[in-house]
Amino acid sequence: MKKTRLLIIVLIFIPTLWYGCTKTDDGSYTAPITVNEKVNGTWNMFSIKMIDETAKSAAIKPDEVNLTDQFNFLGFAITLNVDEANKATTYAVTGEAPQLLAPQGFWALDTDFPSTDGTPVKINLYSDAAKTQKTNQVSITTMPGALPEMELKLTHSSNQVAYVSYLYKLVLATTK
Amino acid sequence: MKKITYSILVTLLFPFAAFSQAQEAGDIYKMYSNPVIYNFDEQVSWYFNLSGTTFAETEDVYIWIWSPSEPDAGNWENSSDFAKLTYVGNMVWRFDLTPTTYFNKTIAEIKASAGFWLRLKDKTGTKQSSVANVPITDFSAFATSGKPFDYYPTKFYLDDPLSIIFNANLIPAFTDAATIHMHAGLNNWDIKQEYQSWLPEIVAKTQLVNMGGGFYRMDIVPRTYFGAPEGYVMSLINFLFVKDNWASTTPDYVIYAPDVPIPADPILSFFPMTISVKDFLVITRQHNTVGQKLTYTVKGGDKTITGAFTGSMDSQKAYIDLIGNFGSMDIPKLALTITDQKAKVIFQGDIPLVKVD
Repeated sequence: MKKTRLLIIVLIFIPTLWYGCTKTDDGSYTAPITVNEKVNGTWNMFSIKMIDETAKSAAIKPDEVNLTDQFNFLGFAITLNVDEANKATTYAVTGEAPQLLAPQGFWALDTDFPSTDGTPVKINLYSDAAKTQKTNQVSITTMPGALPEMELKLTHSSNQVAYVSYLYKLVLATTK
Repeated sequence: MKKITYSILVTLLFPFAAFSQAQEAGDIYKMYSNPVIYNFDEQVSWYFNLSGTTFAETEDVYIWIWSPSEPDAGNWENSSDFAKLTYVGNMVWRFDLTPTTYFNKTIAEIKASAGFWLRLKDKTGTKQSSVANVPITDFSAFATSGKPFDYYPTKFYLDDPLSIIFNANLIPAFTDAATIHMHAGLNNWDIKQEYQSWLPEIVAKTQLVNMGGGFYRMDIVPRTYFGAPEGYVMSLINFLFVKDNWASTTPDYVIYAPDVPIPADPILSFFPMTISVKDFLVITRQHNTVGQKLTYTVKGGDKTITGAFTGSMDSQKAYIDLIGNFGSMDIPKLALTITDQKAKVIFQGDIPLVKVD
């Protein structure tokens, strides 16, 4: 009886001893994923709505209108290109929708990594390769993650007061 | 005070006391006048429906009236011919009179009286109805109401008289009208009685009665006026008034039949509240009339665009691309006009524009 018990104990501990002898493989160093990696690619229109910021701040309804079925917005797509080093290069808007954004040019993020305080990362659009002539700025209000979806917000201001925003909900069209 | 009470009592009870020996024929089932509203110096027809009384169809019926005066006094047992009613049909009798003449009283005296108190009777006074009072529809408040038109009674029916009163003083173009005519239809112009000014009998039929002081009146029984077939359900009357031979018209007016829900007033709204040439303008109009189709014209700088609203009677929308049409212009405003399919202007005004930073 005593012998049997000892055998069982030995059998249980054998694998533990084995594991303890193995060297842990921590892998090689990998750079953190940047926003550029997340947002590059071609994004197709899922929906767009116009938000009346004046009405919204005054709690007046309606404060938004869905434009998805209007003005050929369903055919809208935007492609954000990166180079081998994942640096932002050119962008292009395709489709027949009215040009809320300049149809093509260069893009850059205002930061490489998402902020910790929740401030949305912004995409600046430029007409020149040197990225000095800014044409538009959109906020990434929903960052692509597990789902290949992204939400961009274009805000129109007059005298520094935001009065209208356009909220683009986009889905990734191509695999990276 | 006592005297007044006493005189009212006498007014009401007098016929009971005098003719209590007559057989009671019952209550007058229904009374109405045509026109519904009238000045007391105008001719009017009073209608009495004697259904449910012991009066026989086509029987000779006489009026015995003692207020505001008693024209046939002393003739209870042998009513005068002038007090005789005309049988219309379906147990309805008619009495035509011009109150000031019949009662030999002025308008003011009639107004100050206790009203029209009467019985209906046979010629010899063996049979009498209960005491009745011909209702007077008071329209004195209309003159100062600020309304261009009103109608009486408020509960009107296809087969009953309806009076529409019009205050031409409120429509500047109508103040010097020689004649005013009604151009009208039932149920959104389903059955029309147009003002066909080249047909003399239609000119006469559609002409409003001049009541003086800029007030005009149209008296109709909708079924006969429009020629509505049996079984027709009237839910509304559309009309407008026309000056002379179409020299000018009022806006379109509508009156709704009793129990027909009155649609909400149209609501026109613009989205967003602040806008630039780099945005989209969305115009919404709720509660349109049946068949109403709206179009817009937007003028900015030297460019004009037009388009149609889409949607239903309940809500129609126009989505206007300002970026594509005016995006490159530096302009302070847009001029907008909205019209319907009858070229009626729904809106005309400017849309101010801000500049995007």
